[in-house]
Amino acid sequence: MSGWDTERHIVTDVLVIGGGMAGLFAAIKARERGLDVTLTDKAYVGKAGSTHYAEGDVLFFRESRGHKLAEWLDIISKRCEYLNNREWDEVCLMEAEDRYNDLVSWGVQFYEKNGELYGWDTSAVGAPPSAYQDITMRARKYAPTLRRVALERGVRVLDNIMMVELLKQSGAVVGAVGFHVRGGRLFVIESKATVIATGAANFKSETYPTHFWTGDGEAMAYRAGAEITGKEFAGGVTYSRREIEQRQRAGRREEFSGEIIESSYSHPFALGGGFSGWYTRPTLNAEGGPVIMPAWEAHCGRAPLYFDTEEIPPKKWEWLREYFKRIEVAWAQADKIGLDVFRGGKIRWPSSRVAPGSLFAGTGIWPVDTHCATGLPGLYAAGNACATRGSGAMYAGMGFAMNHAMVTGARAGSAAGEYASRAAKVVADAAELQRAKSLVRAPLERTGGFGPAWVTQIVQSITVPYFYLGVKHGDRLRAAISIAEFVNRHLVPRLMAADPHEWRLAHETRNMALGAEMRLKASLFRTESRGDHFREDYPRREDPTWLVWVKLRDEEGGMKLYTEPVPEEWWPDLTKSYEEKYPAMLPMEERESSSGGADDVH
Amino acid sequence: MSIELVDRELCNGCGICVTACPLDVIRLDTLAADKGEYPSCRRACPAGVDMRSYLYLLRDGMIEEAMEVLRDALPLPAITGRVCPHPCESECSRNEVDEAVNINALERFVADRWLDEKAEPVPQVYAAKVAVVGSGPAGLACAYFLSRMGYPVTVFEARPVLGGMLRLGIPEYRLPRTVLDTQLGYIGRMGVEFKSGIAVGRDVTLEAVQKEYAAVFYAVGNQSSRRLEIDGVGLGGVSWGLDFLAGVNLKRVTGVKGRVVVIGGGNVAVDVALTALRLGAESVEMVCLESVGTMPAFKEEIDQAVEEGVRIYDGWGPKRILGAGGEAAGVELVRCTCVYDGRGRFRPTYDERLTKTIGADAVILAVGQTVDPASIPEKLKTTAGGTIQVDPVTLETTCPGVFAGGDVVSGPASVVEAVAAGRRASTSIDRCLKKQDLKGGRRLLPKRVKRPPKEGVESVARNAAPVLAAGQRAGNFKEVKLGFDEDTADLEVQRCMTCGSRAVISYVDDCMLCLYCEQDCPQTAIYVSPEKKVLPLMPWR
Ligand SMILES: Cc1cc2nc3c(=O)[nH]c(=O)nc-3n(C[C@H](O)[C@H](O)[C@H](O)COP(=O)(O)OP(=O)(O)OC[C@H]3O[C@@H](n4cnc5c(N)ncnc54)[C@H](O)[C@@H]3O)c2cc1C
Ligand SMILES: Cc1cc2nc3c(=O)[nH]c(=O)nc-3n(C[C@H](O)[C@H](O)[C@H](O)COP(=O)(O)OP(=O)(O)OC[C@H]3O[C@@H](n4cnc5c(N)ncnc54)[C@H](O)[C@@H]3O)c2cc1C
Ligand code: SF4
Repeated sequence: MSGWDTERHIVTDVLVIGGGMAGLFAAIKARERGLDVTLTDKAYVGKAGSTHYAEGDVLFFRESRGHKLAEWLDIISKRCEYLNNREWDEVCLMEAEDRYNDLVSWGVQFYEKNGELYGWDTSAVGAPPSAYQDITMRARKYAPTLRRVALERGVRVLDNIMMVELLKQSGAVVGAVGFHVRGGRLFVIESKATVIATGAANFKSETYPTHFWTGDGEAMAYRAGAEITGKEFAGGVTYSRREIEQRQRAGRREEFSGEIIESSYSHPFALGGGFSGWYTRPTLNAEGGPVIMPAWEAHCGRAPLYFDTEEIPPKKWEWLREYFKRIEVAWAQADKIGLDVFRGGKIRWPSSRVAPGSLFAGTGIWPVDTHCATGLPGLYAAGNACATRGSGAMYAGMGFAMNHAMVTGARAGSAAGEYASRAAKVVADAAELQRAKSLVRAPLERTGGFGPAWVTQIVQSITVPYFYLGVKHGDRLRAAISIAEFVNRHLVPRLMAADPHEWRLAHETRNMALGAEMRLKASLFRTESRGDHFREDYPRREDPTWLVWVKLRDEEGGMKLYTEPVPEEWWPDLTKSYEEKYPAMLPMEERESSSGGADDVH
Repeated sequence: MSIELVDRELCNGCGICVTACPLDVIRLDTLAADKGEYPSCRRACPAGVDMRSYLYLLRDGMIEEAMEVLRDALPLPAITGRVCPHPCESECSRNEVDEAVNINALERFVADRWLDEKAEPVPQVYAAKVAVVGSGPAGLACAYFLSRMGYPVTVFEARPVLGGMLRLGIPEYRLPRTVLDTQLGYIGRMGVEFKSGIAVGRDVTLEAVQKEYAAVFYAVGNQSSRRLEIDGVGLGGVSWGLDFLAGVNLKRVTGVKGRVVVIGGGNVAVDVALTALRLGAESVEMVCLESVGTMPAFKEEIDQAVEEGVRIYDGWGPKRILGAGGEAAGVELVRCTCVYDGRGRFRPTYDERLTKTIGADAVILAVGQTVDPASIPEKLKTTAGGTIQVDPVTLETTCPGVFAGGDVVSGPASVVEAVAAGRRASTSIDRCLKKQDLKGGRRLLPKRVKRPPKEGVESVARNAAPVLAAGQRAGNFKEVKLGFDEDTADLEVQRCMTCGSRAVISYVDDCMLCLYCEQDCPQTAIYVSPEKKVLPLMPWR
C-alpha cells in the first residue's frame, strides 16, 4: 500500500534485455541457478525478434555422426574470408548438441522425415555432409514454447518494456532504465548482472519485416563504454525493393511478376554460390551475363536480373516448394497479390530480402572472452547483439544464426548468473538513477525539437540506398558521414515525443542514427573489399593489412576507430594465389568462373 | 498503407493481433461503445464495473488510468476487492477456455494503490442538500456519487461508528479496519459530511430531515438476526449471530470459552464460527440443514472453516438447546431429510427418529438477518417480508423525494449490490433535484458480447491470491486473503480476453508488412496489403 506506483522499481539478480532466442536461453539458464531473473522485451516475448520470424533451421554438429571439426573450420574460414573467430566457431559447434537437447527437453518440436531430423542440404553452402547437419524447428511454434518454459520456471517476463539506458556505478553495470512502450510507465530495474540480447541493428528499411532491429542494445553498451565491432560488413543493410525495382523496370508494377530476382544481398545470388549454386545455370543479368552482386548489376544498368530455372531437376523443384512454404512472409505476400511463385518452370521472387550480416555474429558488441563478457563488469551480450565473429566477413552457413543465439544465450545466462551469485551488491546511487531516468524521459519532456519520423527518414536516406552501404565508395561514405554526424550532434539531442508511441520511436531513432554513423565510419575505415563489404574504390582483399577486426568505441563523446589483429594462425596461407584464398568473386574482378564460397539467403 | 482493415464486425476483441505485432500498430478499443454490448463479467456485475477497460489499462502499466475506471463505478474498491462474491468471475467467458480471470484479486491490486491517496474536496456546484440515512455501503455509495456530481451530502448513522455491516458484520480477518477507515476517510475528504450517533426516526424525525434536505436516501440495512423459536434460546450462553459479531467488532466481546456450536450454514455463520475460533473457543462446530455441497455459504469460506478445524454437522437441524443451571450445555439435533419443497421454497422436513446430542458451552444462532421494523418510518410502505417497497428502476419509495436501497430493500445481499443501489439512487436523486424525468432512458442491461474469444486462446493457469498460512491465523485477526504482488498481477491480467473489444489500427507508420497479425487472427478480421506505399517526406515536427 504505497501510494501511486507511476514508476516500477524492480530489484533482480539477472536482467536480460531482449526476448528472442538468445534472451530466452539466457534467462532460462540464469534461472536454473536459482536466481531471480527478469526478462524484458519491447515487444511480446515469444512472438518477437528475428527469432519468431525465422524458418527455424538450426545447425547440428555431432562428431559421432562423422562431422569433422577441423575440416569444417577450414571451410568456415574460407567462407568468412578469415575474419571469423575460430575459437568461438568451435564453441558453437561443440555445444550445438547440448542446446538441441535443451530444446527437446523443453518441448520444442523438430521436423522429421521418415523418422529422421531433416533440414537444408548443406552442400548448398559448400559444406560436405561431413561438416554439419541442418535441422529444423517447427516455425512459429518454438518461440512461444520457450516463453512458456521461461514462465513456468519463474522468470519474470515483462512484455512491451523497452530498455534504454544502462545504470552504471563504480564502473560496473548495475541495471537499466526503460519504459512501457504503450502505457509509458517508467521501469527502473536494478540488477547484479545484465545480458544484452536485443538482436541486430538496422534502419527499418522497407524490404523486410525487421523493424525492431534498431540496435538498441549495441547503442546502450557503446554509450556505457563497451567496444563494438564488425560494422563495415553488410550486416543488415537492405536495399529497398522500391529502389531496385525502379532501376530494374522503371517502377512499373505489372512487370513485378516477371522472372526478376530481386535481391539486394551481395552474395547469396552471386555467381557460383549460394542459391544459384544449386542450378546448372547462374542467375543472369539483362544482358545475359552472370550476376555477381545484384546491386552491382543495378548500379551498372544491367537490371533486370533473371533467374533461369530451365534446368532445375524435378526433385529440386519439390524441395524448393517446401522451402518457399517455409519462408512464410514472402510466400504469403506473393500469394496475396495473386502471384504464383512457381509457374511454367520459373520462380518469381516476390520480394527482395535483406543482407542479413548482422543476423549473426559478425557485428555488435565485442565479447572479451568466450563467456560473453563485454569488458564492463556485470555486462554480457548474446545473440545477434554479440559479435563473437563466429562469422567473419560473411555469414558462415545456414542454421548458424540460431545456433549462435542459443549458444551465446546459454553462455551469457550462465556467466551472468555466476557473476550475480558472487558479485557484491552494488546499487546505483541517486545521482546515477537521476541521470538515467532523465535521459530516458528527455524526448517526452522536450517542448521543441524534431519528430522521430523525420529524423528516421534522414537516417534511412543515408543508409538504405544500395550505393552507400552496398556498393560503397569513399566519396559517398564521406558525404553520408557528414550527414550522420550532423544528425547525431544536432538533431538527435532534440528528438521529441508526444506520447509513449513516439517515445519509443525517438529512442529507436537515436540508436539508428548512432548505428548509421558506426556503419559508415567503419566502412570508410576499411580500405579494402572483403566478404560483403565491397568498396568500388578498393575492390580487392588486401592481405595481410586487413586481416584485422575494426573496433570502435566512445571516447569523450567522439567515435574512435582502431583495429585488432586476427591471430596469425587463423590467416590464410599467404603464399596461395588470390583466387585460391578467395573463391568468391567480387564485382570488378576479372575471373573465369568460380564455385562455392557464397551464401544462401539467411 | 500496409495494414488496411480490421473488420469491426468480425473482430471479437481477443487481442491476439496486439501481441502478434512486434511493433505498435494495433491497440484495442476496450470501450467499443458503438457496439452497445457488455462482456459477461461486466454484465454480471451489479455495479457495472468496466473490467475489460481497467484490466487492459493495467496490462499496459497504466495503473492510474485503471484506477480512474474503477473509481467511476466503485466507491469502495479496496473493500469490494476483498469481500465481493464476484459474480463477474462466475460468468467470465474465460471459463470456456480454462478458468475465470481472478478479477477480484486484480481489483484489489489496483485499489490498494489508491489507499494512500488523499482525495481532493469536490467543489459543490449545487445548493440542494441530500440526506443519506445509514452509512453502510449503499449509503456510502449514494453519498460518493452525489458528492462527485457536486451535491452537498450528509450521512446520518444511528451507531456511533460508520460503515454498517462493513464494520459491524464482516470480521476483521477478512476486512482490515484500516482499509475501511481509509476508504471512509477518502469519502469524507471529498466533502461528504457524517453525523454518527443519530438515528433517523429516533433522534430526529424523517419529516425534520426532509425540511432541511431536498432528497433523502434510506439505506438502513438488515440490522436484526432472524429468530429461531426453539426451546432453550433464552438460556445463558446463547446468542445471535449479528449481536455476537457486532459485539466482537465493537470490542465488547473479547473472548470465548469452551465448546461453541454455531447454528446456520450461510456466510454469516461461517464468519461467526471463525471469529469464535480466533477468540479462543476450545472447539467450534457448525450445524446446518444442508449437505456441505449445498450450503449457502461460499465454497471457499467453507473450505477455510474446515481447514481451520471447524467441524460441520451437515444435514442436521437444531431441535432444542439443552441447559444446565440456566446455562447452555448442549444442542439436540434432528436429521434433516429435505430443505426445500418441490417449488424450491425453504420448507425443511425432518426425520424425528434420528437425533443426536452434542455438548456446548455456548450456542450462537446465525440463521439469517431481517429488517429491524423500528428503523422504518411509518410513511414508507413495506412489503410482506418487511423490506421497503420501491420502484425497481428509480428506487423511489411510496413517499416522493425519499429513495431507498441496499439490504433494506433487497433483504440480505452483498456489498456490491448495495453499492449498485446507492449509485442507482444517486442518479434518481440528481434527476429529481433537477426536476427531470426519473425513468426516461434508463436502459436495461446491454446485450452480452455475442462471440467472446475462445479460438486461438492458449490455456494459462489462473493465479490464486495468496493466503496467510493456516497456522498463523490462530488467536489473531490478521487478514487471511492477501493481495497479488506486481509480478502475479502482471501474469493474471494477461489472462483477460478483452471480450468484445475491437482492434484498432492505431499507428500504421510502424507496419512492416510481416502479415503476422493477419495470419494469427482467429477471426480473419485483418487484411494487410502486401504493397507498402512509400511515405511522403515527413514534417520535422
Ligand atoms: C526472416 C528470418 C529468417 C531467419 N531464418 C533463420 C534460420 O532459419 N536459421 C537460423 O539459424 N537463423 C535464421 N535467422 C537468424 C536468426 O533468426 C537470428 O539470428 C536469431 O533469432 C537471433 O536471435 P536474438 O535473440 O539474438 O535476436 P532477436 O530474435 O532479434 O531478439 C531480439 C529481441 O530484443 C528485443 N529488443 C530489441 N531492443 C530492445 C530494447 N531496447 N529493449 C527491450 N527489448 C528489445 C526485440 O524486440 C527482440 O524481440 C533468420 C532471421 C530472419 C529475420
Ligand atoms: C457477517 C456478515 C458478513 C458479510 N460478508 C459479506 C461479504 O463478504 N461480501 C459481501 O458482499 N457482503 C457481505 N455481507 C453483506 C453486506 O455486508 C450487506 O449486504 C451490506 O452491508 C448491505 O449494505 P447496506 O448499506 O444496505 O446496509 P448496512 O451495511 O447494514 O448498513 C446500514 C446502516 O444503517 C444504519 N442504520 C440503521 N437504522 C438507522 C437509522 N434509523 N438511522 C440512521 N442509521 C441507521 C445501521 O447502523 C448501519 O450502519 C455480510 C453481512 C454480514 C452480516
Ligand atoms: S503486418 Fe506485421 S507489422 Fe503490420 S500490423 Fe500486422 S503484425 Fe504489425
